[in-house]
Amino acid sequence: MTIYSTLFYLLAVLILASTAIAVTRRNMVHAVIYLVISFFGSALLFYLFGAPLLAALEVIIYAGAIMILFLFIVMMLRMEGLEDRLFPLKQWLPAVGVCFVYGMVLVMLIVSDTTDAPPMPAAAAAPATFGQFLFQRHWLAIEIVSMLLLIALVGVLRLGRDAGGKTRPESEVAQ
Amino acid sequence: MNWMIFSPEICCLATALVFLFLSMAPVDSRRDYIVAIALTGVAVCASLAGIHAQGELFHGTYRIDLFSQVFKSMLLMGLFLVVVISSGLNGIERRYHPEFYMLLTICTLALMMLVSAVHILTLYVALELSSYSLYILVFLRKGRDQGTSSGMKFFLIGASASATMLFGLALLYGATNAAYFRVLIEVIPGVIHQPEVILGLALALCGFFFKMAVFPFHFWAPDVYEGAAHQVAAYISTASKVAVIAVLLRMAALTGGASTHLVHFLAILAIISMTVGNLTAIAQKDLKRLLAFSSIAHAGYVLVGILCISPQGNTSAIFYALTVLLLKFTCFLVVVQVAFDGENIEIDRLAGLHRRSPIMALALMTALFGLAGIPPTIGFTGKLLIFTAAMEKGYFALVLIAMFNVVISLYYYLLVVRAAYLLEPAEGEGALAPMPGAGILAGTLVAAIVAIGIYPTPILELIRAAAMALG
Amino acid sequence: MEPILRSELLTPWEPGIFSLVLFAAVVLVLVGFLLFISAWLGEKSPNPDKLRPYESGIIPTGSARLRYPVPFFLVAIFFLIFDVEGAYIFSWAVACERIGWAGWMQMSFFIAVLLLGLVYIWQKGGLEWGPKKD
Repeated sequence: MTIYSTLFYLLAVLILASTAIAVTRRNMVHAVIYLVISFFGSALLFYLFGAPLLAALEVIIYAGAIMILFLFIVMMLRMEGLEDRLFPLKQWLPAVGVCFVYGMVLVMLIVSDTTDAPPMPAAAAAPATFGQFLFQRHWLAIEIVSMLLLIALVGVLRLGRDAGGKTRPESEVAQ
Repeated sequence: MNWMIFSPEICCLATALVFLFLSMAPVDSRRDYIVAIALTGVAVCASLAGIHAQGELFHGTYRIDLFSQVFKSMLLMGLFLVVVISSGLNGIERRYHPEFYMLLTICTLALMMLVSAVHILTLYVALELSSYSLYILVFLRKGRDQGTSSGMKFFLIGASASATMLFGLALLYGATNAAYFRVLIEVIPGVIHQPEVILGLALALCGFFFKMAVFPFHFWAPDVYEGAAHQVAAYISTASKVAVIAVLLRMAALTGGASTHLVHFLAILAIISMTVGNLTAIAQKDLKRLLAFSSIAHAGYVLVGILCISPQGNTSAIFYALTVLLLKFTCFLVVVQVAFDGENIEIDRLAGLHRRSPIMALALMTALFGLAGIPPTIGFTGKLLIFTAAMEKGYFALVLIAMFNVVISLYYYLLVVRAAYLLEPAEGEGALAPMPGAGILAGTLVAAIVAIGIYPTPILELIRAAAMALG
Repeated sequence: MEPILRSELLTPWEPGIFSLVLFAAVVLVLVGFLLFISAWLGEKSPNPDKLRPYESGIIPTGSARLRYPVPFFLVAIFFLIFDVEGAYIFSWAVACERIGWAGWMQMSFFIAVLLLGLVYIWQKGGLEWGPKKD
């Protein structure tokens, strides 16, 4: 076992374990913290696979910004009685269905015969070459993303404003 | 880089930017309406002028050919028509009108890019842009609870569908090592027996099935149609369906007809969609919910054309896109006129429409007969093309089930027509005061529906050529 | 995406495995050492008064779980959106010399669109905090 594969399995176990813990937590804040650990693990995995820029972005965007958003949403929701509520069967069924499909895919991928198919070359890229590739080949996608972010701003403002109008009278009543 | 062939997209982008600026100016919905009509009109002209343009842009990730240009023209016409019926726009608060037009044009831009994208990354990002603008359009409905709850449902189902799709695309890329469609179309038929390829394709199609409201992803449709403003519902049921038909055709063409599994998968989805759609539509009281279930059923019919994976099948699917665009839009034109206040509309409220506004009643009847597939409307021609294409491939059972479904659907379409023609208007309901120009628009649409139904040849020639460009 | 190694565009890149392992080891040892030192040397004499949330003598009332007002959520989501924008700017910045003026134009469009978005939320009052000035 090389040092690469040792690190890979260590990280895989870390990611799997922390994600499993995150899913099963009743306390949402704890779940978010475990999810952050899982994201750090994935970032290291990206680094190992030769995508250092992606690793950095994983930490900056996922472990940083998205988790902050999760925390705020958790704080915005009403927390009473959430901790000892089991999910109803109606929510379990689709989850089990989706898990079954993905499990089936996994089994198929493992048992399928791949001897004649050449393995995919590892996509190792230094940050500069990654940026060059992205901006020379896929700059249309980048401009589409900029518009996506723009309409996200518009939509969030509309939603947040209305939600604000709705909650403000309630909080005044509470005081 | 040849910017001329990109001009329809640039028109759309410019329109969106104009409305972004207008949204920061003082509120004036009359001004917004006139500007929107003018700018989208220009965009329609640009797309019609460039219908024979050809070329590749952005490092081969974006292909412009007759196939994509025909669909872009249809999309822009859909946008233009929806803008035309927005003069009242009472379902959305006045201060959000510029945002409404902006999101509508950005969504159309995204759908046009979806139609032209030949690289899975561009395809995915364009799909996301169009989905997100639609989610926000649904949220814009006045009276926040209705819009917000249906928008939330739309968003959650949409997000899971696009996650599924991303997984499928990843599997496909992992199995074939190719992301350009021109490479995929060569690689896939050779590796189609591998489970991850077929699964990847099926999962990748799921994202589009969601937008199309095909069976496992159809739950959003009735709630969203009911919860969104009429104009937004009209847009969802026309333009976004048209674009998805184009992408499904492109994706199905990737297999080159080499996989019977995929055909069976699509056939099962088609059968379930049309049966579920038609049977549930019978029980509906709300006209927009009924239209939603009918569009689920129509998604099933289109799938029959798509799964043929033959030139005839592709031609019939493209023609059916035009059919759906015209017929569904006519229905929504009537919905907007009858429910001018922006509230939802029960079928009973149509009572005596032929007294209150004969032209609207005629338009509704023609459109519903078209959706049911009664000659001499365009709907009959569209269904005929699909069923002959399927018969040529030997899918007798499928055609039989589809025919049976057409008969079921007649029942509920006739119920609506009965309400409009045979019931007496309620007390105090005077003549309908449609928006200016609505009568002319309705007349034109009726004429188009019947004329193309009787003499489809010129349009069919164009569409045949477009289907050839696909292969 | 193309198979990247085959295209001459991208150079192979070796992650610095040794430095990564060394760094991780140093961090683990340092953190473990600090925790141990503070646990070992620290004075521990817990009593109920010291364990109160506010040691200053204020008695806490009510639940700590109050609902945060919506502006927090808005700011968090704006932060997220501009953070994602930052990600694209980073990937442009690291390659900025190689892709030249074409890349500069692409990035300018990207930033211009998002600046418009910023102007939009500013003008619509999305950045306002505190009670409304009605």
